Amino acid sequence: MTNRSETQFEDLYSRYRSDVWLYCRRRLGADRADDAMGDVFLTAWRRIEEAPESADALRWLYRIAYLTVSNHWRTLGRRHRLKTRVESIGVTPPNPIADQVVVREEVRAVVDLLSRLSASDAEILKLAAWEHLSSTQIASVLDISPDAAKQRLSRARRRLTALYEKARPVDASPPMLGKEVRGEH
Amino acid sequence: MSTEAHVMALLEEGNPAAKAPGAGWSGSDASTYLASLEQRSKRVVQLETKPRQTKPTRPAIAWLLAAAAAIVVGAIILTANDKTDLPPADQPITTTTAAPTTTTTTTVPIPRDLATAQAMMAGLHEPGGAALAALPWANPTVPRRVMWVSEFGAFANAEVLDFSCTVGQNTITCTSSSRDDVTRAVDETSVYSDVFTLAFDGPSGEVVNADWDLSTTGRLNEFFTWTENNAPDLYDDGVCNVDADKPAECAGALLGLVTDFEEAPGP
Repeated sequence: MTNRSETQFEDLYSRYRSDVWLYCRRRLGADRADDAMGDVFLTAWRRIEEAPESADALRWLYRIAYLTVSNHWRTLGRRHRLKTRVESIGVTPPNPIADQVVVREEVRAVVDLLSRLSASDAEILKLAAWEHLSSTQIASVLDISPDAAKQRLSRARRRLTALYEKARPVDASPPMLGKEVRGEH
Repeated sequence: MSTEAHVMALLEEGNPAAKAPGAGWSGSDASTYLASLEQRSKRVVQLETKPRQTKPTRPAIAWLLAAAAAIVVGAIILTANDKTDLPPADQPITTTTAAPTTTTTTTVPIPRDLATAQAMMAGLHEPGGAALAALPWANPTVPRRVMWVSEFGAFANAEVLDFSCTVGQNTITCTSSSRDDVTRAVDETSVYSDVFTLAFDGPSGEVVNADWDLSTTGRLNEFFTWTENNAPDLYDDGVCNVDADKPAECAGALLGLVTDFEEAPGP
């Protein structure tokens, strides 16, 4: 590696380490965030020659973080599918997201509903709501076309809303009155 | 505000690590951090090069050794089929265990129920995994999930590169690396890294847990993530959902996606 590579890595690290750490923490919990961030920056260091210019660098790091976290959850998911069928164990996998959210019940309920969506739907919603990425940015993180990202985001929002409405008590009041607002990512 | 917008607002409020002044990771500087990453990388390399048992694959059990998860089974079969290598149930067995940076050889007792399990698993070379299914599972639906991996590997011509096993009082754990047609098509250097553990209940001898930890690395990892993004239905409701119980069809579907993946732009 050249001095230029080291300088580039240091620049990435100093600018975006908090963003990457927060991304990992939001998905894996505080316990695993440090390790995951290490994996992300280790990959970034090994592929530093591919790092884009600063405007796209965070998107590139998010892409690496997404792959890193996906691998982690894929492993846990496979283990979970196996374990849930062993009655005598009865271990409930931790939900690092829900455990961290000490907020009102309605918010917790919505966060919990993410686990009932497919992994791809949940991730696209998190990228929009937690990382505040546009659909174009989401597209590059997920390696899909902008049109596909927009469609999937819309579909995921509808699915989450449907779950929310299904889970909400029938006599509950409408969430809020007023003009319909559609967010455009 | 529509219900949909309200739900998204709630989701945003539920951010488990909302950004705030001073929030986020605040560890060492870049040079120190990079040094620690490189050190960790060296430790990983040491783990990957620990001594392994190596024996030629026997044709009769080649299919069994096909799948990543079957490495543990392969280790057991290779031991149990060779009577001179299999100690009596209550005799010690020499196993290799690996610490993060060192390799040591220890001798531990092998419980009778494990030896029984080994003998039963030695008959696994018939398609369908009847011997594995015949183990005294606490829940009879579990072996089907385990055999899913074996059948996936059998279809995809999997090959075990190396493995090592550790026998505990009521557990047997094997780690392995392997490759198959999917890894070969994606990237010759990528492998599956697996940890497979069977846990036995001491008094009853039942298999109370099968812990199968699969992971992928490098380009292979990118491929699986790409398939999850570009063919999510494959996993949600399709042949790669374990509940669909179609491992061969899943392997075929994934192989069919390799070309599309190769033509897609990288990260």
